[in-house]
Amino acid sequence: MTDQGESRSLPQKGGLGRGIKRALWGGGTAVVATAVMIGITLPRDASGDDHSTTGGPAAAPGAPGQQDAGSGDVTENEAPEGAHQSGRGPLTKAEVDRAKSIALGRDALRSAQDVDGGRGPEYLDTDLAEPADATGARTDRARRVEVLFYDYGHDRLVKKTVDLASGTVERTDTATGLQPPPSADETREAASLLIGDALGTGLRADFTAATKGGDLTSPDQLRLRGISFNTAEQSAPAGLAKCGRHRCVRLFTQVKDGPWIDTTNLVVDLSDRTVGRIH
Amino acid sequence: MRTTHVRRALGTASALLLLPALVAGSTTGRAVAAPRAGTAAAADCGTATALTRTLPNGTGWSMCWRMSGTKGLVLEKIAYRPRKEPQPLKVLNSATLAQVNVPYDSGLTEYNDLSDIGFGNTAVDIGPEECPGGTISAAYIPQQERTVKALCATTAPRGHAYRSDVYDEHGTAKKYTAQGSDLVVFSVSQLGWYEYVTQWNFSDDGTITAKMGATGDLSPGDYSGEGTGWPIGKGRHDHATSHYHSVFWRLDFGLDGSNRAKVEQYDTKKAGRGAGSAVLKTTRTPVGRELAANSALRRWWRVVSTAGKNTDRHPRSWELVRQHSDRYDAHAYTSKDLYVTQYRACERLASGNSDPACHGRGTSVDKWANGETLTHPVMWVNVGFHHIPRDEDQTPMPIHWQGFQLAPRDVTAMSPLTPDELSGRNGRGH
Ligand SMILES: [Cu+2]
Repeated sequence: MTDQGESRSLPQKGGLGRGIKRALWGGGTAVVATAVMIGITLPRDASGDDHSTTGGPAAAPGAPGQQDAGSGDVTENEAPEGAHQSGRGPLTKAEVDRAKSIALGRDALRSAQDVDGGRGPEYLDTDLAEPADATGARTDRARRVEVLFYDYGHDRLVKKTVDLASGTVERTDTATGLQPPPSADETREAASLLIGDALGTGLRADFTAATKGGDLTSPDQLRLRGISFNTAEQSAPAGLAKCGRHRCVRLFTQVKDGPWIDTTNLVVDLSDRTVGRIH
Repeated sequence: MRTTHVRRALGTASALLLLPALVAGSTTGRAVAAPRAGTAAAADCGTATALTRTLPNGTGWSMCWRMSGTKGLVLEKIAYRPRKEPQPLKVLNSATLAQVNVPYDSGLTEYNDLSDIGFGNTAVDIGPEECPGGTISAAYIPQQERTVKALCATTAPRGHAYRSDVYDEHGTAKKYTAQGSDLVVFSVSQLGWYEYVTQWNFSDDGTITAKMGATGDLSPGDYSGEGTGWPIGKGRHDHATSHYHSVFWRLDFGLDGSNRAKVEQYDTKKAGRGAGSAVLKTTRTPVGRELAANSALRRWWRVVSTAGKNTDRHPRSWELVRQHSDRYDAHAYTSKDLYVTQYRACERLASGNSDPACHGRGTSVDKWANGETLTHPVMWVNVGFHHIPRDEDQTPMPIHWQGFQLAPRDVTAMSPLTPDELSGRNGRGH
């Protein structure tokens, strides 16, 4: 356990350099490897934009078919759009927006709290419901959609099943102890708490090293992916026993356009706004 | 070590699994990739466009697709249309991933990639170089709040479909041979440094191959010691930590349009010695109740239609063909190779199932397989790969695959690829 708050048993600098040198060609960013953290630059577009690396080192030279890549043979289908869909295809943005507003309609869930303690629940995700199967005949033309919320006020998961055709909520299911993947908002909030916490010292130090002197003050400086953490589903030390009943999040952390910083040992409890560690 | 790794990923019985029908660099099937419209009778996907192809040998496949935040690629209403079949034959109501569990041997960390992160939430754009000759389709992903070019559908060769020198009554040999192909469907998800390819191959002989490919990079932070890692880089200093990938698939069968399929287990055992060789006896065990089972020598399962027979009056069925798998014995739910449960809409992920409608039933498939009578069976296939890193796994890691197949058994009276001249040779000659 180090006083910087990171406790991964990582190898020392000399060894790391050899292990990760392989990734350096992807960009000009220096590999960061402090005693407690490790950074690695991967040849990946941090913006998420569509791009191709053909011709770069990633394109295996001589691989059959490679030389013809992107020669115009590929056709592209746009995502479906609009609020009026039927059957079993992708949800559209319009449908997702409509499902959310139906699920939150009238006074539904007003007593719930979001991740900042604000009024109303934290929205998590929307998915197409399984076709109704009561009679064995699957009626799958109607678009029934499940909208998931987390209520931080009561630490519970709420699912609203919405019928998009009639604009009504068909049923509401509620449970504690279930922790689906965190939303982008929750992920951001977790990073915010980590940056401000004593256990975030290593992260801040690595960020400074990776950016040659920059200060990490906001999640916006990072590319993040949230990982929910539920002790009912995996091993954890006693200090994290509340995770599961509470909503807890780990993070994959990458400096924007820069190296990874390994923070997966740290767990942010969003329900009581504390940070703990696995080992 | 290396040999072990390769054999596990590929499997001797898994020729189809290994064919280069995959991602960038290995597909050469562009010449046959253009979809032939109209012949494969598209699945009814409502306002959405069905994913439909007729392969060069005449076999058609059709299905609906979408992306789920947790499950990633969801294929529904999968139908198979053998060349001479007047109507598409319904096979699966839905086929999805149901979990990817990645615990590290060091005992220090573990990831549940579907239930804690999500394969749709992490789906990334597929570029044209990854989908030669194919069609890339986009979908809006709610959790990402953006549209992702999430699906590639293309056609790829799979080598020999068959080959035979057949002799006519005059003793003259004629060579019958054909090259086979697959409809290949995949999406890609980035989970930190790992990248996963979720792929399905639909072959022209009716075989369905589900496979998960892992590439990207080994975890940059997980180094361990002798016994829990493998030295990579120079010398023996840095041991990249060994870990597991336990992948679950959920298969909801709707054979010939009915959910009421039957499940059977077959075992073949030695039963003495005959005059010329050992006698092996195959027995059938009906699976009438929910099942949690392990593989065994010469054991297999099939799902049998109650609604359709082939023209030989044999009930149509689909056989689960397993590849090599090392089940992870440190979780209850990964300790079994196969579960069959009675359908429930809220039971979707093999662990960490977070549908409140299933509250009180437990959150993993081992809790659900508790002896209920099966009238609408759902199959959960667990394929485990213990990944001991090797030098070659360094950046980008060569893709390693794990998966299984569903093979048609008596779906048609002969193979849909049988040449017309030989189609009369059905059954024992008289
Ligand atoms: Cu691996």
